[in-house]
Amino acid sequence: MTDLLTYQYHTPSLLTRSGTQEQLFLSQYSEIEKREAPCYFQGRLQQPYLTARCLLALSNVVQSSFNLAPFQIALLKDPVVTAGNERLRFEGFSHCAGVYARVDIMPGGHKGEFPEAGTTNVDFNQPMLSALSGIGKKEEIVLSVGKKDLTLQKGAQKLIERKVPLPARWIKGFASVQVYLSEAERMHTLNRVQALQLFQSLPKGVVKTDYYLTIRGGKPIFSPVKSINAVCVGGIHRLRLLELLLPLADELRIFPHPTMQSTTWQLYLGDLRFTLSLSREAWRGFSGEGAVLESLVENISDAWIEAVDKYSYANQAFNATMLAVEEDIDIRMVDNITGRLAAMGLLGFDIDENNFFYRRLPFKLSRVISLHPRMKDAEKLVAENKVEIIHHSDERTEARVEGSGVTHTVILDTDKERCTCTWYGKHQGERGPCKHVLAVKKKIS
Amino acid sequence: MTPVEQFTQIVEQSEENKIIPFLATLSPQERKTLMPGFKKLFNHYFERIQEGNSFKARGNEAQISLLSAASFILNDRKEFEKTYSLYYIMRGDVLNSILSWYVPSWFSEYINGFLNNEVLPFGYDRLMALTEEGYVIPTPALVARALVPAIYEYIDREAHLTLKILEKRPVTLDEHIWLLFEYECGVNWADRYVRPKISENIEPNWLGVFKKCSDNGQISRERVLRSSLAASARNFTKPLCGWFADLVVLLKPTSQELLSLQQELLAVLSGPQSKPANMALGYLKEICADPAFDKVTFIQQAEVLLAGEVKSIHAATLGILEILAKSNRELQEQICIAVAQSFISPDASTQTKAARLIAKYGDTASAALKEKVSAFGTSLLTATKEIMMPWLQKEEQPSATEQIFSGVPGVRSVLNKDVEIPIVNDVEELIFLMSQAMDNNQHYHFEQILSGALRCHPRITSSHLRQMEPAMQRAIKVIQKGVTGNAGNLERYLAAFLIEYGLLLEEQFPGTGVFGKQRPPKIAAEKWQLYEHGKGAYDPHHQLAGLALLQIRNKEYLPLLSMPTHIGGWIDPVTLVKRMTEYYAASVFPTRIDLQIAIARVAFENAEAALALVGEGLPDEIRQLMLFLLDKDMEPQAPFTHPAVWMMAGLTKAPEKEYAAFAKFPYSQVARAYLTGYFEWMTYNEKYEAYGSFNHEKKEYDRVEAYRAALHINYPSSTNVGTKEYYGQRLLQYNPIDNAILLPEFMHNTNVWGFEKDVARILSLMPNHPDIILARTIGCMSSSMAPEVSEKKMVLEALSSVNMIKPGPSEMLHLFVATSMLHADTTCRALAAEIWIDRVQYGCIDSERIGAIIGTHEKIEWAPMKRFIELATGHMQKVSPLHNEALEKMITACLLQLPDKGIKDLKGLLELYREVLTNNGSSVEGVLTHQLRAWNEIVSLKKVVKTLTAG
Repeated sequence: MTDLLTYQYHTPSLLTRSGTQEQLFLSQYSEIEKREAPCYFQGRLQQPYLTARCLLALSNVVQSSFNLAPFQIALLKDPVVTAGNERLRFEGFSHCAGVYARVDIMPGGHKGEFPEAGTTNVDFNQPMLSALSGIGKKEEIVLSVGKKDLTLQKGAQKLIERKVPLPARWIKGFASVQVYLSEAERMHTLNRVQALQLFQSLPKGVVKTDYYLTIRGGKPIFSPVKSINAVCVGGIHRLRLLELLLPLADELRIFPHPTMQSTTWQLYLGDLRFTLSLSREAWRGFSGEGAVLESLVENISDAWIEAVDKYSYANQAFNATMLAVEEDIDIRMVDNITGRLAAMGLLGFDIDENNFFYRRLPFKLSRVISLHPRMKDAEKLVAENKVEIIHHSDERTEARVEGSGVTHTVILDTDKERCTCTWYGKHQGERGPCKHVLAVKKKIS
Repeated sequence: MTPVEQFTQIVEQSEENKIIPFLATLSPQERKTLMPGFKKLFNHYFERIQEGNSFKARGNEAQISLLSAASFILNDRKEFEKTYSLYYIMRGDVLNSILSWYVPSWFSEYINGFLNNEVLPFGYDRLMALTEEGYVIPTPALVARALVPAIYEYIDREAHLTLKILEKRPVTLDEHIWLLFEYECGVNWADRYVRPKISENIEPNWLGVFKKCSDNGQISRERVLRSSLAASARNFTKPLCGWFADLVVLLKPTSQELLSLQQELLAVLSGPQSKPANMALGYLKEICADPAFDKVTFIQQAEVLLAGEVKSIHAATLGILEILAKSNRELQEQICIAVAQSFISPDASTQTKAARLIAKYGDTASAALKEKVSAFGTSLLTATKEIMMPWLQKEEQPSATEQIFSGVPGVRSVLNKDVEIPIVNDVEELIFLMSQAMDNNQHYHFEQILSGALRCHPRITSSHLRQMEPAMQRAIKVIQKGVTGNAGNLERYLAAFLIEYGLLLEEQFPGTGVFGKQRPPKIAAEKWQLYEHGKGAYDPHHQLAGLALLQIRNKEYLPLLSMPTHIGGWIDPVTLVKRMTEYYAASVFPTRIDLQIAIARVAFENAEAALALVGEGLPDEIRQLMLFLLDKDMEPQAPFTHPAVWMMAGLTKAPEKEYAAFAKFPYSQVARAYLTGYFEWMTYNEKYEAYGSFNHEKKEYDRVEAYRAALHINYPSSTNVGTKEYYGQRLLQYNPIDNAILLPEFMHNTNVWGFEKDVARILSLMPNHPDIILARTIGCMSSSMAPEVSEKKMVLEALSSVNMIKPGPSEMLHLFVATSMLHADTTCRALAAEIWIDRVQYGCIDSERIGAIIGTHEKIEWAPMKRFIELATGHMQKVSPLHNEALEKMITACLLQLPDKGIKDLKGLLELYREVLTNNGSSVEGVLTHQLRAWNEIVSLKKVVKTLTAG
């Protein structure tokens, strides 16, 4: 599987004026879509100005790269839209794989129809975005995702082709964010004024130290000092991506992950929601975090994938039990099925409704399923007989694992796992298990 | 002759003009056969050889040219790009003569690929020629980029502005010129490296071109205005957006035009940059009184503008809203609700302006307006609150659970259970601790490993050795290759300890290796040392490591006396007394450095409990020493067999007191400040040699006498202190007065640069009085200007460490915190504020002193006062009643120091002061009468002084 994705759009996305209305046409492409030129949505946006601002904020996330050279910005991945079940969801992931954003247009936010349901990439080109930024408060927007009838435009129609690198870590990061979302818990709810006050305490420029969100004297504030119940935010300058929408939002809800490995910030704007998730540090993406390592990706049977595809409907809440009943599969045999399916890009998580929804990322599964490098290394260690179990019981396991020129000691207790390797020494388990621990777990399972 | 032979002949005979016709005669298959020969020839003639003193290619000019042409024709894109031959074929007619019969399939894409190059190897004219011939289909972005420099031509090496190329083809002015608004192509700095001849009637850049062409009617003026406005609001870079705004201004749009463009102007307000928004607001003000003006949209947009941070935008927006409110009665409520958004701004003038507007046009009966205004309750400044009284609903008090800080000072304890340092009790724990030894994860790991080894050594068996391999390997790597990641210089000593310990283990368990495949290097005495001038502060840890090894060899398996019991380096004196009793029971005599550090680390809060334990288990002198240390009123009693230790006890217990009994110690010859860290300091205008202008005769910069505000610590003269030359600087050279070196004396010859990863640990050596190192850190902060990265990191780490260690109040601590509140870096300032907030809670910081220090700095305007004002407003205000009182004292003390003629931003400070006073229900102090009277004479301060004296 090459690391390249070639976007092939029949026409570019366009915002045109037709009479008194703006027509926003989003061109779509998916490498796994077999249907001929589907149209996913056609209708009117009920909150056109706000929706336009949200899409612009999303494009800012997609265009941002917090740790990469500017020339790589030319190789941006387009956002992904999921249409179905009366909802439209636009998802974007930054190039550095550390910032995830989603715009949810709920049933009240549009008035239209969904001729086909599904998930696809959409072309967010500069001229279209420029035109979008010119949308005023009085405009009306008719949106179409994909075209109902592909009539020829004025002038020659040209296939828009764009090659971008699609590294496994980017896709895996995109997918694993959903797992983080599902584990996050709401900690703070702020109204618009409180949110604006909070963002006044955001330090200027790029910040290298961690900041913490605390409540002091009844007021939320960002502080460089940790305190009880503080939410740790690394790479806090990335929160500036929300500034565009803050004065327009009704509410800001903050969902930290229990281990503080990510934070999610959700803005409510009428029938729209804008979700922003940040990885632990600006220079760290989501994918290397080991969150999904525990879910063994490769143990999903093909039958399950087919079943999920067959019975699930875009944006529909995913119910594992129902599926098991339909397909006569013993759900107890498969541990943490939703987590694993999410890791494969088959499910998204709605933090508001607190459930997973079906959404298949428009990338070939083979890109997603490739083993996480640490899992791969762990498998190799087991296969090469480099794992020696010294002692094993329910409460405690002790093992020796051959490393490079050295032997590591791994100890698994009921409450913690330890290893003498450099990875564990540096991170003390905060970034997921090392390959030695994974190898030992694999061997004893 | 075969094609290959022909080709070779042409190359060898440098027949440049023959190569292209020759290759044109060949079929593609024949051209393929040339490849191996061609490659060989190419590499041969392009090889760089030495000729005399320089390097050049082997081939002559003609050969290079013709081989480049051949490269283009024969190679595929990848190979051609490797050869960098484009320059040779771009000249003259070479390229065209090839393209007329052979256009590579990759050619168009290749040309388009130049988009991101710094310099384009072709101009607009050339690109168009290639396009017209059908050789290239350029992307719009490339056309835009190529077009940018097309307005200059060079005559006699001078650049002149010209419209010739633009006028050459209709498509340029019809279509291509508009691409400049769509893509970031550098249109704003087309004249960056060009020095065009200035002519009277036209600006020699694209601004001038657009103006001229639109004036001439060559392009639509309306379209230029419309496109510029749209472009200024795009996601372009800040200078580019500003440039488009400048273009609009240059065209001087009339009111009529502005009215027709009002939607575009309104859209600019949503853009990311403030300069275009300010420009748009200026124009909107011109047309806002016109009946055709879209008031409703503007009012909706205004709310978003007022929520931003830029003051000038607030002022401009409020100005327009005022005009609208005056003549549109039916919109007054909507306007007032939008205006209320201004109350999020901490700026007094913005809030006052908004409040006055609402007071004039707002309806006191409007429930919606009341709700909106009340939502800003906590943001409203005093003056605003007074005006907004009729609209304020009852203020909600923060609930008890939200109050972290109560009004009463708490009791500080550094010996809390939750900050206890765990004891390493078994070998397994020790092994895992050793494997993270090189990561500097906690400040106490160094001592924890030493003590852990001492405690657990008797239980180590040969099977454990293999488990220690990873730790030993990492230690070897550190010694051989230096530290990486979070490790500091102290990790080198720890690595050396681990290696020596490993060798000891191998001695004990012969036949069992602990290092794995790699044998450790010989740790000679030199390897333990760092650069000489840096050694000082690292030496105590170095000695402790040596001591631990020695104790293990001597089978004295007792943990070090100085092993801290709590985070920050503190030792519970009860534990210390127990340890000492254990030592003497085992007939082990503590070493001087170990005992000194242990004494320096005693947390006196538990002294009474410890006193009760000081008993018969200790020899007389040691017993007396401990009683002296722990009983605050007790005087020292002879004998003083170990003067260093006694001195340390005195310095730890009461550094301000000079005990008569110690007068005969050698240390009394040392200027006392070097032992206590109680240095004097000064902020003053120091004379220095600044750089003037370049002197062409002398070929160097002239130096001129200038003054700068500087903060310096005064290192007093002392018999044992000299200076030494170090890379052009004079550094302090401290020589210990005696062989028995006192712990504080180690701190002096320390280079704080590169120190940031070790500062927490060094400070934790003397948590009661870390003043000496703080003084050296303040040395990094001599100037208030933006520091270098390493200095900023040093200050940041020192602040974090001080926050963790929580030393008691002292002049150096106050100086450090106060100065950090004025630091250029936001995070340093925020950290200093946090330290203050934490200390005020426990009543162990002198806010008045901090205020006085800030005032002393600001008397000569050492740093912008704005930094402190913003910090206090954002972080230090309204934390709790206790903090509010402390803040009031701080600002009062600061104001007392300031000169009669005032300083920059004094107004802001006085406004803040007024806020604080009103919040506390206090009135201005009598001590400030003189200052206020003097400042009342200054026009800009009159108003705010009046509000202070009236209240």
